[in-house]
Amino acid sequence: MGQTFNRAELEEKTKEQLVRMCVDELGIVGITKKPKEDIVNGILALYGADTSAIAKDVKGPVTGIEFTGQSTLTKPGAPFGQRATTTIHVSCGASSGNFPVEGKTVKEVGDFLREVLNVDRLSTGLVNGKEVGADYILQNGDNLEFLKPAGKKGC
Amino acid sequence: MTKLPITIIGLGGVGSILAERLCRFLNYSSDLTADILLVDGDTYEQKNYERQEFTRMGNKADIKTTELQMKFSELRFESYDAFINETNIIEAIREGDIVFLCVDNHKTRMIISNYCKNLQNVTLISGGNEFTDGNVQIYVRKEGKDLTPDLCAYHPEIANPDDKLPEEMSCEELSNSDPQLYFTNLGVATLMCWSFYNVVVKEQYERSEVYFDILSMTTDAKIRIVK
Repeated sequence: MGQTFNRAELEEKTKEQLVRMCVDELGIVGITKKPKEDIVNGILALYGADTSAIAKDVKGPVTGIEFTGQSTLTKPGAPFGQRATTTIHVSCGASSGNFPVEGKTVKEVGDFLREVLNVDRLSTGLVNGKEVGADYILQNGDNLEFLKPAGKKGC
Repeated sequence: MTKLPITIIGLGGVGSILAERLCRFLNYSSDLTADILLVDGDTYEQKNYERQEFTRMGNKADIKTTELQMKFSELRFESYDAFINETNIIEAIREGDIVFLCVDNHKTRMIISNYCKNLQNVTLISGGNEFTDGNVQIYVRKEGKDLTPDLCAYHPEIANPDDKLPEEMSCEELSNSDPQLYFTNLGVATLMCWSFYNVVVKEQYERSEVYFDILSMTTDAKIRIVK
């Protein structure tokens, strides 16, 4: 996906031009009958070049941006707004991945990913760096780590 | 020229590799030099050939000190032929030291971490591994305040170790050590060098623990909160 756009250049175009771009160049379906604003947002969601997608709402100079990817485009063929699934970053030691586990407890996730991430049965869960109980329910924006024991050998 | 007080504890699979790389960096650095104390009570023998870098048999600390002094004349070396315990630790670690901990048991890690908690200034970089994975922890304390968590904070297996100090082990226990992979020792030593560069040279220690796994070809550095 080498091609990128920013909001300003998209807003200069007419709705008809944007529809043609979606159909002929970008292969975007499902949004061409929406208002122009939605089409622009749809293109930016997939081909946004920079922070101009959010710049409209920012008051004063931008001094820093922190972004944690939490959504994965799991259903690219679905209508706009239903393509992404919220995922949570889960790690154990050097292994990690983004998984659709929002709403699950730490224990459920540990059981679910035991083999995939090599999670120890007694491993403590850290959410956003803080220890939580096994019954903690994961929310959008959480980052879950199962503590892996330290390596013992070396001599 | 800044002179760093460095102690390397454990000169086996990780420590013998680490010492060579660290000393090469320091010896040719334009603004850093070091006084380096090498500590190990163990003897280099034939079974260590496949993973450890020595040119002759004998006490590991003594041999490595001689070898490094011949190679790196800008640095000063001392050796200490001992396994660290609660009594002799005062001989090995002093205020302001940068300590590389390359041992093979959690009990020594626990003793050293707890000792460092009572110092005002210390940097402790500890590495360990299993067969194909491992981790490195960085404990930094400045002006009596922890800037990163100690080794025990997130690791109950270190806080409450179920193993023994080398001096508490029988000959049979010592000779029955689990097999290790040279590349895994090399991975730990490399990450300890990275840690040193970040903490000592660049003074950045936000990420104070890093894991690696050879089989999944991954590393992952963690941000740990001081409790």
